[in-house]
Amino acid sequence: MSTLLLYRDAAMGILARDWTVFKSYRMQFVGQIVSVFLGLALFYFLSHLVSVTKFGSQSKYFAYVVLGMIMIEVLQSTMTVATGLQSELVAGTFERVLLSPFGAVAAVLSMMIFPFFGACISALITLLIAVLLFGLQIHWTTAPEAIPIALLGTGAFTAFGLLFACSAVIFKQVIGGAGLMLTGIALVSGLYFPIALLPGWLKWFSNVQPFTPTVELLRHTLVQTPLTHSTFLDLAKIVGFVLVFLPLSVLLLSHAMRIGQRRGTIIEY
Amino acid sequence: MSDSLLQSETVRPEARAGLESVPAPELGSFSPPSQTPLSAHGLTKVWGSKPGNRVIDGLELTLEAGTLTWIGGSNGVGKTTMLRVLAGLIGPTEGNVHMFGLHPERDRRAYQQRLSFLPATSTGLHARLTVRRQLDYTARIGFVPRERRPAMVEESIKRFSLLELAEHRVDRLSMGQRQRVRLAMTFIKEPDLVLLDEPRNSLDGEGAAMLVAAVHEVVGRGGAVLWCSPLGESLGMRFDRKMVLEHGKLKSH
Repeated sequence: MSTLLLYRDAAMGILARDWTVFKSYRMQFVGQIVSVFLGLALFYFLSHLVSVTKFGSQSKYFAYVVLGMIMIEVLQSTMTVATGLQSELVAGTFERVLLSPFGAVAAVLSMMIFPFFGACISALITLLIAVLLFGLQIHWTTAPEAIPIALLGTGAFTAFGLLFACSAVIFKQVIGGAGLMLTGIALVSGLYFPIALLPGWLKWFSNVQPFTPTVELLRHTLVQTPLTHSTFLDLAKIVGFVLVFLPLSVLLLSHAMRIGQRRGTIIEY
Repeated sequence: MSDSLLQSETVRPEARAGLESVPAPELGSFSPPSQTPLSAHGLTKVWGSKPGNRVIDGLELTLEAGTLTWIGGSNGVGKTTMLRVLAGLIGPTEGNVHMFGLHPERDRRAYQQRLSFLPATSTGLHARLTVRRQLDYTARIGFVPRERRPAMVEESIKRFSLLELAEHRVDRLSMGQRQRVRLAMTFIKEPDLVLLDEPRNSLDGEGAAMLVAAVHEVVGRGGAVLWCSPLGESLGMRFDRKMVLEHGKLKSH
């Protein structure tokens, strides 16, 4: 049996494990759906309360925010790897992974598969609820183009998730940092309001990370929000980020594991 | 060491003779033979930067093929740290360890494919998985080939009498039953070297007998087993070598 197949089987083992654990908490899925519905309802009524001239109509602001909410969901899914890793350290199950031929880095990458699929399904459900219950208008002809954009964006977000996994390995601390990161991204990426409203010095942050172009392109393909930059420039930013930061974050994680093992602190929590 | 408690345990004379006749190789020039299950030389582990935190101090250990070795020691003497270093879980401050000529960091994948380590803690199980799923997961990350995996999972379930518990979630098992699952996870991939840290924890007589049978199976096919437990624990079984860890070094017992 080739090594590649052994790695694939091990990764599928982690996916099956995470799915089984998710299923075992029966109210988790229901809770997520209710949470999505409440989030959508909140912004639906907010969009009716405020009049934003930039968007032209209240429904356009609602469409703008729905895509921002989806982005946060996907981003959160990549961050859960770090909290999951910390839980495994506490439960002692990560020790098993470290003592397996599959290894810690491959296992951490595999631990991102289930949350990613979960976020994709959750994003679809969010869109469905928004369309069916809140009257969101989707531009179906360009909607399929959102899939490769979302995949590229996830690749870029994964780099951030892996950096937080490094933090779990070396500093044994994640949750506060991940929360801070998500809030910061929501602020500078225009997830809930256009970045044009930000002061100049904050706009710089909007332009040097992959979240702003990803959400802009997704909005453009799904709800026809006009682009502030060209499609090519936005895509180039995301691809560049994936090509540079994804391998770098994997290398950093590998290095963090080695440091933890050499120090002997790898299984501490 | 409580001699009275270990009176029934024996050390094979040929193994003890082997222990005394093997000269310690020179550090630096050491090249372990690929057929030696485990060889550790000058192994030192210091926690932090204080010299007083030297848990293992220039430890020398060789495990020969087809042998069962016992290492005892008082609580906190460094047995678990030693096992973690030997397993490649943590790195030594100085010295080196090889398993069948493999290095734990440079040859990590092959090293972990041939080794199994049972930690002393009662943790390490996914609470929400059933016993069968837990074993399947362990076999997968242990690189057990797909075509052999179902049979090996079933074999492990039978070997540790887990058939009735196979579809039970791990968090609904007793401590002794969980220890059987952990043992099944340890032996499932048919390792060539097994490191056991207090393996009798929570086991009843039947469970202990299953453990001994699994250990003898590894030794019988030419592997090696290192069994660590505190001084004074009655083991009631035959060891090829017995040693005690004191002040970071191993002494014959």
